[in-house]
Amino acid sequence: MRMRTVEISVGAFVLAGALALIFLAVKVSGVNLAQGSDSYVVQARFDDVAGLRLRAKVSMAGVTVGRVAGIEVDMVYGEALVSLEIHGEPGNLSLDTGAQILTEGILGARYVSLLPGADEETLADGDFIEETQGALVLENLVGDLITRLGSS
Amino acid sequence: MAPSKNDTKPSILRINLLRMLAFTLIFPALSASAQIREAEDLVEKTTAEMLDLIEEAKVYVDEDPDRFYVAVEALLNPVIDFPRFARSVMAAHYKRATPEQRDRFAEGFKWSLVRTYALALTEFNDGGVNIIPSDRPAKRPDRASVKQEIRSAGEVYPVIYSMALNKEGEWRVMNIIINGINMGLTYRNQFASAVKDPVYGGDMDRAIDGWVASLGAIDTGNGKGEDASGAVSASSAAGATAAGSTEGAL
Repeated sequence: MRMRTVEISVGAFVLAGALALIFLAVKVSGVNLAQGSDSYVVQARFDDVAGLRLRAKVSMAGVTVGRVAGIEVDMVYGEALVSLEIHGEPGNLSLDTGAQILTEGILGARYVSLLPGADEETLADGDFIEETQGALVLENLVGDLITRLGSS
Repeated sequence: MAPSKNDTKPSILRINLLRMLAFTLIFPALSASAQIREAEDLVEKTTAEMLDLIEEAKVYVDEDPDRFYVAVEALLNPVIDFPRFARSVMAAHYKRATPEQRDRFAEGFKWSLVRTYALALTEFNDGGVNIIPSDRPAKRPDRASVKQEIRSAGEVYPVIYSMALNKEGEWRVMNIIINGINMGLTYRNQFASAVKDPVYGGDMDRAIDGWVASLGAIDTGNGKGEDASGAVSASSAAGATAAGSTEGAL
């Protein structure tokens, strides 16, 4: 009988460990199971997203205000079309809000940073952010530097 | 034979329908591309005038840079929507600025831009400028991106002018993207951090003056030797005082 309780408790411990691992995996990958219903989507075109991933954070002044809900390439213009899911109700982002792709840390993950604008009108669901700055790709910068060194 | 007779009638109708559909589809497309041409023509015309102006100015710019700045401003003012550009740079701080501060920012920003770019342009020589016509439909009827390539000293700088139709139905430049860098957003970031800079102690007036001055002081010499860049910074300092006096006159 005593052996039985030891076996059960070991089993429960292993199970708890497995559950903790799953919880960790979900947390780290940023999957939001408790889907908030009040959010809206705005879109932005970038010339280069350079490794921006789905569910990457969308921040304003460093505070997470949403996440990347979709990344597609627009073959007509050769640009990336990014859908940003913003928490809350429409009406808090001005029409001339800017969007930039930045890097967390020096070589960290890419995220989208929103720069507040001055317009009184606000972005509605499905609107486009007109002012965008794509990611600065390190290789392009190095290439630029090399041609500059070569020419001088 | 009756079925074939019946067949021709709907096909004529279908052709007519198709034609109508084609017209309704093509006409907005045509007018949209015509509008983009309009925007491109405006940029092309202004660039040509600018190049003439630089050619003329090469004689007098060293003695009388103010005259050159005033001429550049007169040329660009009807083409670039400076108030809107300035507003989008002030961005979030625009709302809490007083009307005087807004005006001062717009005026200072405009003259700083004119000085910086006018000086960069006088160094422009033996290159070429050409518009790359857009062969794609416009994303929005009231917006246009005009692409231009500027060649100077063996390098190519792609410039994109973001243009919008104003209320009078004329194209105006709202933002410039140089070599993939969105200048409007870069300035917006810079001004936002200038306002937070403890040097100005949270005082909007001092932040405006300080930032606008620092913008004008950007060294525009691009590796043409010590002498050239020295001359540029010296004349930009002279320009700063000159622009101050023209503002006073206005």
